[in-house]
Amino acid sequence: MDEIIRLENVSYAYEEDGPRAVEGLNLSFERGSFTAVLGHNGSGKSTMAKLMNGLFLPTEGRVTVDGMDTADEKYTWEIRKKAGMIFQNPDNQLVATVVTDDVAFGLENLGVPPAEMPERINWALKQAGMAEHAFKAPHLLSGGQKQRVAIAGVLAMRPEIIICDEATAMLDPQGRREVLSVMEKLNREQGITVIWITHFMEEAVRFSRLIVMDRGSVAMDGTPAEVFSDEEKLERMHLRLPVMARLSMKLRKENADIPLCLTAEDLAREAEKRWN
Amino acid sequence: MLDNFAFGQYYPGTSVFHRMDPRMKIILLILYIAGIFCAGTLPSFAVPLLFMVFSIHMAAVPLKMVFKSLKPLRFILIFTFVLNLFFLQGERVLLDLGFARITREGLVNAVLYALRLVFLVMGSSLLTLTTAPVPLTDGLERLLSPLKAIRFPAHEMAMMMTIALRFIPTLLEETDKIMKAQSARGADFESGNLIQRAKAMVPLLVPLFVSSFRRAGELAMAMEARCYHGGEGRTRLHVLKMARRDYIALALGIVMVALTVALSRLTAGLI
Amino acid sequence: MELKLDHVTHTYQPGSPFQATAIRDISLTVGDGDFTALIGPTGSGKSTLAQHLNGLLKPTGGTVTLDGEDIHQKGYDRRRVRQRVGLVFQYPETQLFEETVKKDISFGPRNLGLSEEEIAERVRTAMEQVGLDYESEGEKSPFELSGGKMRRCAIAGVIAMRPTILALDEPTAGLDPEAREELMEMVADLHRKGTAIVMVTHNMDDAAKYCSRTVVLEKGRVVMDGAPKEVFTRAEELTQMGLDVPQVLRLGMLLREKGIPFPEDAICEEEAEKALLELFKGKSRPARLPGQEGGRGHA
Repeated sequence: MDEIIRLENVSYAYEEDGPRAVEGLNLSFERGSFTAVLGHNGSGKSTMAKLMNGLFLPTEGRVTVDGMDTADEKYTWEIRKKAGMIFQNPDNQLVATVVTDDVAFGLENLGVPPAEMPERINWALKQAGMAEHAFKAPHLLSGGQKQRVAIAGVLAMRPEIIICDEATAMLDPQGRREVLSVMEKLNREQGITVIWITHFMEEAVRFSRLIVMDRGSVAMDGTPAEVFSDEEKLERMHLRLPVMARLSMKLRKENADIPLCLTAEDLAREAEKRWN
Repeated sequence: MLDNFAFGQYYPGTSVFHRMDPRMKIILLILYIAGIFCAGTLPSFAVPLLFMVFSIHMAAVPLKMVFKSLKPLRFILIFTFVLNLFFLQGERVLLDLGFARITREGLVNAVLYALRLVFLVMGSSLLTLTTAPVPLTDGLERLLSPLKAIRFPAHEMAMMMTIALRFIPTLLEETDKIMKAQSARGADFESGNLIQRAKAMVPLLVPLFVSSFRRAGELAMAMEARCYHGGEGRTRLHVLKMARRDYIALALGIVMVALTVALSRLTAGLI
Repeated sequence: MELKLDHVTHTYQPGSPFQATAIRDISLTVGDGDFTALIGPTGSGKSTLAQHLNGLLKPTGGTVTLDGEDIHQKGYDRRRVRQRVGLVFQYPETQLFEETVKKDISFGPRNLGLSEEEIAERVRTAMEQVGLDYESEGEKSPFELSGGKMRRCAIAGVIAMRPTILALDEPTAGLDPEAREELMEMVADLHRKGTAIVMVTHNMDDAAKYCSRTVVLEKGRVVMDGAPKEVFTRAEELTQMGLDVPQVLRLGMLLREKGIPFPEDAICEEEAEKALLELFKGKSRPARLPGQEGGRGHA
């Protein structure tokens, strides 16, 4: 396996001798993979995200990004360039008063020659579907659009990984769909490794790997079908099954011949097989 | 609604004035201010006036927009005018009201001060009308950057200005929302004496501070995640380059000041 | 008890270049026992409408009456509306400001000019209703609570005013699934105890499950108004507006496309379960199709 991020025995406490927000974490992410991290508020998923680009340094253990140790200062900027991050609040991550200038912010920090910038900015805005809003002021955009500007800002830095820390939590359904579709496209077309932290079960269904966090460590790790087949355990983690999964599980309990289905399409297909 | 609050008053355009280097526009403004303060007589004001009219013409900004900036100042204008009118007592009395006299010197002085104020505001508003906030802060940062040698935080200042500009609309919106939310709980921001009113602000100010601190923390983290590490080694998207038009403007500006000084001297005894 | 909006229009900054009409010609009555879901795409005027319910915004056209009295007429005590119609804004935890949970919740009742005993009593019941512990959590700083509890504390601050109508603007936004479920159950409980609820929401599954009436706004106008079953069966129109439809409804549409007679009026999970079991009675495991086991997702 070609792994791009590796966490070895990682623990993190916000205060010295304080409680551990993550504890003994062992995980690795494959290059080009598409992973969702689930967990209730306070399960340590956001802390884990911030450990993966050196915003937090592990209290114990080691985090490496493409072989570079996040604790090693000489790699700090290289790591953050490689692993971009989108945060929860769309308002609190845009810096400039014009969209283009905001996308330029990261490039300016990296010291990219000004002549190269316009091309990279245009490309990034196009990828995020925000090219037509290039000269708008951020406060006039919708939440979903602001998040896509943030994605463009990260994308212009040519990252290999994008970590989305509950990037859709504050958006309306349409904004959520837009942002997730952009990330799906970036993963598929640009091969960007995506780590998507969320508590929307319906979003999780679309990923190839799910990690469930609880009390600072990994409680479940597998495909959506594997994770969602254990409803009891999910409930113990303060999570819920997606509606269709729950429905198909109930039918199974009533002895109906239906496998676990994750989406309405799945369930309709399975039902059709049995109808005829 | 605070949503539509337009900060600054940038009037988009492609005129020569719009395209000029923001640094030069700032320098011109300084020269222009020097000009209006050198103009000690009424006739000598003709020079900065001409310069102003010419600039507005070159900027292709509607006159109405330039005058609009004076509106909030009208009371200060009237106040300073009246104050100066009675303050300086000269020899040639124009009007004797008994308790106060208006003299010719007082009148001239009052007019001069009012004109300076009007010209000053119009000049600066022309700068903000033709320069978007980003190039403006860029220009300021670079004009001030020689001062880094004496540890003047030019970059940090410009970054602070940018962030402030970015967050003013957001904070206004938030203020509006919290005020409404507290009103829904029966808070009253409008009546009562001064102390009661000050007390009524607590339910508004505490949430605003809390959220501003949270925002600041999150923004700092987001900036770090995007490799922000201060001004060192930073490049800029907008490259500022002086063109021929900028040097011509500079020459005109210097000529304007010189002419004003000369004319002011020549006409000193006339009025 | 009846709150009535009669041909209400609201235009922001009329006469200025920023003039914008957020809602137009809306007539709506909220009465005892209602649980109304207010849905519509972002920018359709839901929040503006909600702010008319308790007189925070004054209509630029039309009237708002409470039990027959115009709430914006001269001499009408606006505090009376604020007391009877509670409004919980989006992310209400951002309005917390006091040192302790109790003090924060007592802010509303105190503004009503109630006696100390009455205030204490109301704070206690409000905390109970939202599931906060009076003894152990009352003296805590509201800023020390978890996200879900902060939200409930803020809602308690409105409930403590004992409104007969409670309007909530997206009360579950940003919460995790468990907190979301708990909060919805709490709102449903308030409704059972007699408070009329008006809830702005993007979550169609919640609207289908809890509400007795659904009002759909588009571009500032009411375009649909009826029982959830009536509204959600117009799925195509909803989808065109960029809205979600309850997932069960989508399932139903897919099934009917495939010729399976799934009932059109099933919109929530329980109904779907019942309908499917009915349809597949006699087709249970390990009946005729053993080879079909292990379709996608079967672990």
